[in-house]
Amino acid sequence: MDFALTDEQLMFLDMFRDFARQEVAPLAEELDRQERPPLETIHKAAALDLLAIPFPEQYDGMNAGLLAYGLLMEELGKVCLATAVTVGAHCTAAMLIAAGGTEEQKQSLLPSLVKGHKIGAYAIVEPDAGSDLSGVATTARLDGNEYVLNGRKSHVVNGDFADLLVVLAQTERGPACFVVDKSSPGLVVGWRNKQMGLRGAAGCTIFLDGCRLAMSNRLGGEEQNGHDIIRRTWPFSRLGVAFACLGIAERGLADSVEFARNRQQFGGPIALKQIIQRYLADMATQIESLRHMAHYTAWLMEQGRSSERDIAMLKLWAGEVATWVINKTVQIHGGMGYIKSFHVERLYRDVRAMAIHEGTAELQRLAVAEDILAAVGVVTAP
Amino acid sequence: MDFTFSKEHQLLRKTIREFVRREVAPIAAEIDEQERVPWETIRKAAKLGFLGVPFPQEYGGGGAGEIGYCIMAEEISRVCSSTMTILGAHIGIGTMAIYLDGTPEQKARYLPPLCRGEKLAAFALTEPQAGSDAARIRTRAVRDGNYFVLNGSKIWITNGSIADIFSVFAVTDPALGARGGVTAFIVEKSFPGFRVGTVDEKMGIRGSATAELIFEDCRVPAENVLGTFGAGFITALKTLDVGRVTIGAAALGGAEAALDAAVAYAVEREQFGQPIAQKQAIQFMIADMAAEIEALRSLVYRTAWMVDTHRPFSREAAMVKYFGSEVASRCVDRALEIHGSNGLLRGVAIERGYRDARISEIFEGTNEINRIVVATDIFRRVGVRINP
Repeated sequence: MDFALTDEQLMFLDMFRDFARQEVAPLAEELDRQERPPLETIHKAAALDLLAIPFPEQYDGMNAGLLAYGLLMEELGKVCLATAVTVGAHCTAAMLIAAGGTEEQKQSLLPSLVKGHKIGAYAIVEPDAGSDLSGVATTARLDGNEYVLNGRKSHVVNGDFADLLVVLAQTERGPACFVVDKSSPGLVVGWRNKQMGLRGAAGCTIFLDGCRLAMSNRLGGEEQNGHDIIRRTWPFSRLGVAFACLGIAERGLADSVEFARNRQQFGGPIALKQIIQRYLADMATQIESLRHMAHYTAWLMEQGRSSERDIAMLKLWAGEVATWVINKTVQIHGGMGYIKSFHVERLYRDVRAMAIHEGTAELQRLAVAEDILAAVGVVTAP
Repeated sequence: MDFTFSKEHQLLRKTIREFVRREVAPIAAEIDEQERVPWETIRKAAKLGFLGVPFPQEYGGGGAGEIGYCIMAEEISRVCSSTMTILGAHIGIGTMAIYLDGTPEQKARYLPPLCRGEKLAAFALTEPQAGSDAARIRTRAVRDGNYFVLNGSKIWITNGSIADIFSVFAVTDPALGARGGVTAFIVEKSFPGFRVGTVDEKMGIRGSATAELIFEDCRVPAENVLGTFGAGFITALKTLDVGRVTIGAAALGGAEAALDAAVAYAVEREQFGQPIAQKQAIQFMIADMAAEIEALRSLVYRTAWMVDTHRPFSREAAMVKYFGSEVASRCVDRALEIHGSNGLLRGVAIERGYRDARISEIFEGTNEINRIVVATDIFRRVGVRINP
């Protein structure tokens, strides 16, 4: 047994930390206020090959593993959750292609995404299809040797500036994923969400209005089921979310400690009050449990041994820990946690999405329960 | 990085699981009901070397380290918290104090019979007015030639009425208090002036014996000063640090058992025309249990690894202890809820599990004290001293 990070992982961690501190942290507030994506950060990250971390070398990736990718998300999450989500959406789009694409598609599409020459997004959710993917109403009709896509996608992170989108649609023979270039006629970028938080990574509405695609744009070829591709990518995207949750929770704790030691009430720093100490201890303990669970799950995934249940438990726990820790961060900061001129209120607005996006906490609970009950021979109703 | 248990640890788990199935499970309900110490189990466990599991083989131990000890605590607690409480008090704190701070002579003399289970150990710190505030103990030890004379009493001592060897903490200099004025002693039950007082009846862990110890001019040879004179309070804290990791592992076992029981019941119990397992309200309780258990498992074995690899672990041990005991308490509570009124029936495993779980939030440092340990360390790392 050896729980220590490898030298390579430690080296990456240093690099991610420097990058987050120098390039990401200074922009966090501005992205939130201006509700704009961190385009300059993405390009700088690409130049340092940070977008290539988890991908195989044959597609120009760094092949540094999923835990290293997690460490990147953790460090980004510490300083700017919106940037972490932006990077996560891009990498997940690439991972959808890696998981579902034909060798030809991978060779032609992945290197430019991995290198960050192109930015990716994925368009899966719709107004009436969130947790329930079978409700997707976007259609892909075969017309000669082209697919024609019609429908509307919502909450597409990176949707307004991505060069390439992975789109889920219903064909006459079941669900399929398509790679759609932003220049495709019929792809119309709608509005950026006005959101409570993660304003630097706001989701967009995307319209597909008679969008015509060559058959070769269907990921994995004619027989490949689109839901299967998405399910194969969930572990990756959810792992990223979990590490980002870890990051923002650590940030919340660090800020709370700093505040508690300086804030004077009743003749001394509030750090001396046991009620505050209790909050801090609970925050630290939950964070520690999340850290080890995240490292363990990443390791399981790298070994090819993770189950859907492992991922679901991690995602569930990460969302619960992060939202709870940031809630307590606000509480410790009192009025300072509520005002716009201080960043804690942003953490609170940002973190709430973590228990919702990339699979709600409810979906994770169902997945865990389903697996537990399946082990004793009970098939749960969908 | 490698999260795999070693071959030896995997084998140990298998061996213990088999032992638990054969020897512990059949009498778990009975020892609770009759409030009796399972001597037959202790003797068999001793024969298999379980009573010295974490300690080096040179002392007759199993050499399995803290990871191995946690494996044992998890597996036994899945079925019987009473049994693990007895072993935990013997190994994790009673013997551990001698192992951590004993002189070479003391280790050579006391550890082998304790590791072999020929003798049982206990750890005696708590007093009527000194629980969480352990620095306020009053039991006095006064030098008299080659002896120390102890006067005072200890309460809530696990194994108090069944142990042969006690790690006892007493005041040797009231002016210095916990900072140099407390000394640890190795007391044998045969020492004159030592006797067992009241044996408590308890809500849970009823198969373990919790007793009062009375010292009336108890004469302890000076060579039985455990470790360094005046450094007893440090010995107590160091010992409890290790003990806490195992409380977390035991809580893990209790929580897992609760989950298993909840699942088994939810599958069998039909309401509204189908098993209640089909209800999302039940599924969500089960999922939350599983996720918390997984988080706890990661924390337990990671911290045990820190102990075995000689990294600092006080903060993590406190986290494991209070987080673990609360996960276990939430799990037995949810499992009881899923069982409905059937869970309240004596003889149903979750009824005992529910009563047994509660102590873990209290003993070996209340969760309040453990939270303070964590918070103090958090501030220490940024150069601020709280709770002096």
